[in-house]
Amino acid sequence: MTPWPTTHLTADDLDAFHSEALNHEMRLHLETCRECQTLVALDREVLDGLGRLPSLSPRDGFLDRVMARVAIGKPAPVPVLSFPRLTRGRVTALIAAGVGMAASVAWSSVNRPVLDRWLETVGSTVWTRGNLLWQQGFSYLASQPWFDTLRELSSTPLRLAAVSLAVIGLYATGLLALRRLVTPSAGTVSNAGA
Amino acid sequence: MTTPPGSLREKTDQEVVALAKDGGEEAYRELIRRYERPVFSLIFRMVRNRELAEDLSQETFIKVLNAVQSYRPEFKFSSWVFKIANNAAIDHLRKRELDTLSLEGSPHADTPELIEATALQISERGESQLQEVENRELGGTIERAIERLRPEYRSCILLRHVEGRTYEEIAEVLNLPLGTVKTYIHRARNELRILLKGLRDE
Repeated sequence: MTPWPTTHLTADDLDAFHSEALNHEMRLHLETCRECQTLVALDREVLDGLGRLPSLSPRDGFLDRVMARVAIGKPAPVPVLSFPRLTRGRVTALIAAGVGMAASVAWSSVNRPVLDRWLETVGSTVWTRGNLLWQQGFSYLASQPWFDTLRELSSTPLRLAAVSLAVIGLYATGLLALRRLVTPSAGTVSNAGA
Repeated sequence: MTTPPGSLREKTDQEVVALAKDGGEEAYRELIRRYERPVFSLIFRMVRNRELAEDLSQETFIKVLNAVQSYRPEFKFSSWVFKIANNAAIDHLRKRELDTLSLEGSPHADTPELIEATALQISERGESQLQEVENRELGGTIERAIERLRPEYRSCILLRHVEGRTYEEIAEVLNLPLGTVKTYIHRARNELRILLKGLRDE
């Protein structure tokens, strides 16, 4: 006959034994296993010894020594945004920027027709190019295999509302997830870095 | 703002901290009174030097009390205090490379002279309180056995079985996963059983 494999008490069993929650099977094992009986006795002795260690106290006057170095009721320092200090370099840069802006305004008011012409040219170019880009983009989208499905989804106001809600929900979930990801870990005791 | 000391004793940590935030000096004193012994005991058993333990305990309370305004009440005050105390002790042990202090001398001592010197340094420190404790047979043996544990094990076992903190709170204090805390405590107990048996047989 093959003997039943011996399973001695584990660390969790020891904890269970001390809190009187050891299961029946292990209790039976403990009654017969000399090794486990020694283990339990030693562990109990360790716990008794630890439990009986006296609470030690610092020398007299500890409290006053600490209090002498504590700033009572002083609020935690709050970082305050302050105007950057004006150094010679910064003043020069500010003056240069001011002069540049004034010169620009002066030139614009004197050469108004030239400026209007330039703006018109730039404006029409931007408009034409923008329009072309928009059309290209839309035709690219329309040629995608999923475009018809998308159009179908937004074919009635009800469907459009449902899709919009789903998209908003997805966006909000994404934002929340991102917020959790980028929030620096505070650990479980946030004040511990003090 | 003054609060009679007697009435403070019945208040919870959170209530006392709230009074301290309002600038109540007596509330500050009450917080020190509540935690000076546990904090000092923990640090002393970590660094095994009374003067140093006092300095580190003092630093712990100064840090805690000067930052009390920024304390967030959703966290346990005791966890915060123990965390700062434990960090102070561990930081010191790391700096001084005394991380595995032993009655047999520093593990970094590689000559018999150095081993003897470091061993003497520990035993000759004249900790009257420690000697007093060691005079009690089991307490003394346990104290000596704790000294031989790794600092992480020492923190765990002291917080669990001397200060009576829960596994969850220890995990918070030491910033370790719950499973690791349980493992450390079980390993520490295992080492203590072996050391206790060995010290008895010596």
